[in-house]
Amino acid sequence: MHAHFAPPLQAAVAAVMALSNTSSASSTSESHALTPIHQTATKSEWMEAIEQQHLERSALNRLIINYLITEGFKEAAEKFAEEAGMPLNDIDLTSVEERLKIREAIENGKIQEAIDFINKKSPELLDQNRQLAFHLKQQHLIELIRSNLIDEALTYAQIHLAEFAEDELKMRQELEKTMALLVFDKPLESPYGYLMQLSHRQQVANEINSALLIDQNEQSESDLSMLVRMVTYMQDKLDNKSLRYPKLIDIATGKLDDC
Amino acid sequence: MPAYDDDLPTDEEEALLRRLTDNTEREERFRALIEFKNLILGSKRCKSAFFRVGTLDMLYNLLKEYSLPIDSDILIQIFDCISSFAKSTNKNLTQRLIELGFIEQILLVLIDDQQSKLFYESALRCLRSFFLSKKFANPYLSPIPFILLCDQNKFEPKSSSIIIDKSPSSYKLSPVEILFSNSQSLDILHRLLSISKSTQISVLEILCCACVDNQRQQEIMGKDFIPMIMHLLIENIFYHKRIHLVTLANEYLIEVCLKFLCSISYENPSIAQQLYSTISSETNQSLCEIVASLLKKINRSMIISYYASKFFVNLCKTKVLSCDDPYVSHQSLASLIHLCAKSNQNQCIYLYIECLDTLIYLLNGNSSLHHTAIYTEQLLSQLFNYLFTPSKIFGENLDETAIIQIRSSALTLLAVLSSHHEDIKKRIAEQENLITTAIECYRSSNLSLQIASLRLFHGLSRSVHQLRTTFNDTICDILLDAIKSSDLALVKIVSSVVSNSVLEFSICRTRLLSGGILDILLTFLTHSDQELSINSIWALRNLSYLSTLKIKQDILNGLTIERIYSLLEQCTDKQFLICLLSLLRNLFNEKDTEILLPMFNSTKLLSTLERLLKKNYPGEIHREVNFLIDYLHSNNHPTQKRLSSDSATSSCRSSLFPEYDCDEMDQLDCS
Repeated sequence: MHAHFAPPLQAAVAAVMALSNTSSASSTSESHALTPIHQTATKSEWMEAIEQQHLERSALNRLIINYLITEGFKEAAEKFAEEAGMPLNDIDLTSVEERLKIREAIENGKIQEAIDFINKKSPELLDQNRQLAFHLKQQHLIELIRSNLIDEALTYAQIHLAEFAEDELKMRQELEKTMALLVFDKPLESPYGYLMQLSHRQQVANEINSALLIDQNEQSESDLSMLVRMVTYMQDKLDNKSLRYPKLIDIATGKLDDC
Repeated sequence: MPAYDDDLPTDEEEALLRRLTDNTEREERFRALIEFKNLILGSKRCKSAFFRVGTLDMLYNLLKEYSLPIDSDILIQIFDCISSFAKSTNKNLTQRLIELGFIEQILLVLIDDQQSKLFYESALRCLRSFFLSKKFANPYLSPIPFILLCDQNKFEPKSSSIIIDKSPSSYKLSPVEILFSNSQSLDILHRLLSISKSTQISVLEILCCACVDNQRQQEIMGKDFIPMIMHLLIENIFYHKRIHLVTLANEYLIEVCLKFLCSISYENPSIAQQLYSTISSETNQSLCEIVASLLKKINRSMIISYYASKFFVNLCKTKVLSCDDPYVSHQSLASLIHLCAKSNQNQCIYLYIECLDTLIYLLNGNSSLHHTAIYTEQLLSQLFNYLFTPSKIFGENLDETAIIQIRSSALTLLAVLSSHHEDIKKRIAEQENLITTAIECYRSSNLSLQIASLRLFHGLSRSVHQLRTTFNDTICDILLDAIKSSDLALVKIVSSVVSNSVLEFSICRTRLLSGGILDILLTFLTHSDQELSINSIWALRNLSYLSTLKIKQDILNGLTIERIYSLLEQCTDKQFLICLLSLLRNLFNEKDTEILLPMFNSTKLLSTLERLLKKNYPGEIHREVNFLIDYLHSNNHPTQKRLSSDSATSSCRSSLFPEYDCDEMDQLDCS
């Protein structure tokens, strides 16, 4: 799938590079406080240059499908594909569904269930990636603390997490923070309360999803997120050269800065 | 040893084990196996605890029970469990797995060709775990752990006790030996290559590990894996002409294919030649062209660059490719240097170490590549960085072992580069802090650093200029210290340095002599290690060249006339004999002959030499003998003109390692 999305990626890059090349500043010049700010193009010129980049609808659709598949939104991907008239023949939807199940289990706090699914799908993953195994078990410990099962939590930490603390300093520090939650009456309001936030479950779920994709030799990141990162990178480069250009200030809405 | 190694299973875990053993109902066992698997996967403690109570034996019994007939769902769970145990770093645990016969049993079930893809993938992953290194150095290199070849034990001497008796206490076969003891193993692996990408990766990784020597390589080669490998490479390389971009559908699989090609061609000229001549029936490209195309890709992974380069290095070292072949000098060498030079923090230091070691392997004996290697200063500059300040490149939290390894590899590569051309020697020796650092490396407690520093001194000692300038008292003292070491590898290298450092123009010579080097060299003459005894006679020969009468007498007194005669009559080592004859020639330098020759009884010496001529020795020995005979005759008859010594001087010039032609040493006049 990765090869199919090269054109949109290229187009996004082309748009930015085309505009930076119209700048009168040397491409090798370093940004300097006394260097005059150069205008690359007006907003209308910029928009015109973007319009000239031909992006097929099918390419945009593939971009969206890629995002939905990578993130594990199987039903959304199927629906979108149906509406866009795109076949999903070369995509392993079973694999997508499995990843979605794992994500849902983690985001619902059912970590042991998630571990079961992970071991079924990728039996070598937790042996090969110690950090992943630790984060899953840490999350289970957090869920036990959340449910106020203190004795179970202590036993679980002793039996299943102590070995990680022994092996690596960073994991020991993480475990200490997690265990510290037990000390507080309201762990959510403690300095380590972020561990109890639902966003922490999402963080673990994202980490697992990424690892599963890599393990299956698939892209670990959707083309769309790579494009967004690339735009941010390009804009930073232009900013460093003190170039004025219609900066994309809101990715969600596509709002450009006036320049 | 971690604290959890003493742990036993908890009560709940014990209860789970009872469910597995006591309950014979299939569904219940299946559920229990899944719970068991979820416990041990990702947990070293669990594996250790279960091992202590004999769980492996239980698993083996289950494996056997559900192999006839095959219950694939249960076996998949068992395979996953065994695979996890096999990844353990606990040697007793992994040894027990081998003793029980898991590998043999897995190979047995793989004979069945009616099972599902998942079954074969699981079984092969399990088998693979037995072969792959347990401790591999790949924290950052790739998201999926990639086992570098340096993590495998390549070409290690086979265990001296290969006992077929399967009783636990004496079972000593390795996984590779077990694999080859089953005549169907390779056929099974070949058949399973076509199942899926996962089985391809597992099979290729196993085969990489199985290439332990030329015999095993040949056996694997005989099973026709190469066409399939070529097909996998072609299938996974796409070239988009329009956007001039290549994507690699499965980088990991390509990496493993390349690693396999490197393993199978390593030190095997006949296989290397076969690979060189292999043409793809799909694209009509040679294998070299396909591999070379991977070196031209933008955004290629470091592993692909490395193993593609290493493949050509292997072809070069087996003499299939010459070192000026573009695949070697332009592509491979450039890629390896580029890889070494582009180190970043958090990249796998062990890949850089392996790159350096591969460069050492390539450049050792291929001096024509040395100037190319240092053309842009990029490599030298990076080597100095690795040697002087590795933590600035790789971060402060780097493992001490890794730091030592990269420093020692960098220093060894500098040693190889400085072993031949005088201008390169000068450039390296004059680098600020290099000699000080090399001295410091010798004084460290680490053997690999000590050996690397001595290798550098050896490379520099092959230069007249360096012997006259660099080899100061501190280095002399190091040589005198190292020559007394209990480590044979270290002593052998330092003896090479000493053999050059005792030459007449060396500033080290006097200090070495006053440090008792002569006695030490004399004791090495009868050492069981052939290289060391040759180095010592070589050193004595060099010591005797243009030497004073006193030193010559000391040599003779130490060697003794009887021993010289005994060696002339009985020595069968040709290199030793050449050195001994050259030594005699040096001793009988014109001005000292009158004093030294009578010690020998010239008639007896002459007759001994004439007997040597009748033996079937190579021309070089006969030339030396003839020269001596001629000399003795002319000495007896001063009016007779001595024959030219030109033919004899070649042996004086030749280095211990024939592939090294030392330009500086060639200028010595040994007549």
